[in-house]
Amino acid sequence: MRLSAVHGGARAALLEPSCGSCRYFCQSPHEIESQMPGIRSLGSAHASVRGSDGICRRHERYLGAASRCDDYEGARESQSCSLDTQAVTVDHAGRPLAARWRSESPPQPCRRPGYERAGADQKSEPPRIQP
Amino acid sequence: MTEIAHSQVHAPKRESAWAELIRKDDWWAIWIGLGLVVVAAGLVASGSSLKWLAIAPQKWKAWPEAVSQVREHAVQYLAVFALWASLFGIGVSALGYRLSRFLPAFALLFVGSLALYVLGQWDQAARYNLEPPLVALVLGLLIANTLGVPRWADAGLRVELYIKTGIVLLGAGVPLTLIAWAGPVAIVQAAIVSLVTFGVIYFTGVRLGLDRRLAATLGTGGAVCGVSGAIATAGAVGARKEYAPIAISLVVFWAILAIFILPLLARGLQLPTGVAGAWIGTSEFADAAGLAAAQAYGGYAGHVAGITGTPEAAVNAFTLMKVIGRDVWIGVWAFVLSIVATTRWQPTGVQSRANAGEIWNRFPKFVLGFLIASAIVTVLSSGYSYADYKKVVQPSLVAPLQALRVWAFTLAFLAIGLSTRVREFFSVGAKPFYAFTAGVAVNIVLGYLLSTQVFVGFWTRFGQ
Repeated sequence: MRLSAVHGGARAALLEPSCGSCRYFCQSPHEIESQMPGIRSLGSAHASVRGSDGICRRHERYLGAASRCDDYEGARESQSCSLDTQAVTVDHAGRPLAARWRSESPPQPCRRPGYERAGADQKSEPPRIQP
Repeated sequence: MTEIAHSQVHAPKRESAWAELIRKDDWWAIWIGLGLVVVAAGLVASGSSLKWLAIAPQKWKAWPEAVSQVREHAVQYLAVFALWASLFGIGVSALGYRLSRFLPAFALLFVGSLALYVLGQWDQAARYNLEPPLVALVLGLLIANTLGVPRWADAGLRVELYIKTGIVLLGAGVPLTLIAWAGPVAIVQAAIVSLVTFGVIYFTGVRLGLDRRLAATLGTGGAVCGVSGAIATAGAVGARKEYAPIAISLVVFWAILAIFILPLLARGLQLPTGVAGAWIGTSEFADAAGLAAAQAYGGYAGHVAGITGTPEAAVNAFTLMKVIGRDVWIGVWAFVLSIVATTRWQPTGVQSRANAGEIWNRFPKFVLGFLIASAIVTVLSSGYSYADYKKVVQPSLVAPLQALRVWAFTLAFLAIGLSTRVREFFSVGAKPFYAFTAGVAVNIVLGYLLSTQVFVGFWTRFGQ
């Protein structure tokens, strides 16, 4: 494919990495169901409506696979989504990946109040969602 | 450089589009549901029927009568268990669950569902409000929240797979002409309620100081299609990880309450089944919960004084309103909100991409199965007179598929209760609760007004 044939945004889209191939991105429906309490009662992470969304462990967000950010790191094979599960693979430095996550990109605690806009009234009781 | 080296292209590692056909429960509902419809149609064409396999308990008056019924047809019950266990087992395996965990959990679920199905045929069941969907839910909730359900049983409690399969089978009993006739009204009514409810939840949430992404996730959860709406929107707008669980907890909380409240209110108001089904379809928050409420209400027809219409009308009106009127639009909602999020809302450090292709990606594919099942039976029936349809097609094709549909729904209703943890409802925070509840109040009142005042003539005719 010739680069000149690819225009503007499309060319950028090809060259820029996206969440779907990032090591911090978890698309496993099983992991998503375990991290989102209640989803199985009246829904499913295996449903078509989920598309290819997943959880970004770097930014603690639930995102589409085509999203992008500056913290992208290439994916590895046999990626485990959960930090609770010890990864069986190692990173380029030979360190266990789960340990590397802990040292370089510690997951944000889920208990912190984070659902209000900046500057909004903070008097409400914070959410206590369990991961 | 004029060529892009393959190694430089960081395209997302995505499975092929075909992989979705075995990785999503929507598609498995289609394969299983349509497979049964095609087999049933083939058997009818060859002079046979699925009747023997599609066993359903008959009405009974005394307990020994019910027990002897089950004993007499034990082989058929075993056969229908084997049918569901094998079909759902294949689907669940493809979704990544172990058969060794699915089978024992499913066996227990089936035995519970059989008991509930039999109980529902008691001639005094309606008098004591013992409608199988309601009893299934209460029983499941009690077991899950007192004794507890082991983690390995999750593999057998696939509510969405069972309910979507049931909806595909339901299509076999709803003529395509009826969908074409009632669909536009359902879409208009559902659109009014969805837009108003979303607006109420979203602007109440923003007014209370919630992040716009949370307010939007709550809004689509309440206005469009419950849990599915919440997860679709959360992903489209790039919500924080905890937003979807907050919305899901609120959806499940109110959906389960509405399963009991809506049929109770409709019964008190003696609404015809078509009207009540339309109201439930407008105001319930999830397919499985709404079908439980609609089926429970349909069970009152002919048993509770003052309630007119056919039992099927409640479920059919609900399905048109909820599935055709609300569910199929989730991709559009997600797409529009993703554009708004990327262009109008505060950046998050992650750049979301609005892509019109997501409308199809997020389309609830099982709806296609519902429509195709309807089309198959409509085409097959077109050569028959009404009298012949009632004499041949109804008992040999439609009735067995409807019996199998009730099995799928009953499995789902019991699984809802067994997979719901009440403690999760108490961790959502006050402001999201207030915003969502404001939408619930408006949703129920507006749904009532539209179903019983504005479109009452239409839904009453629909039920007859």
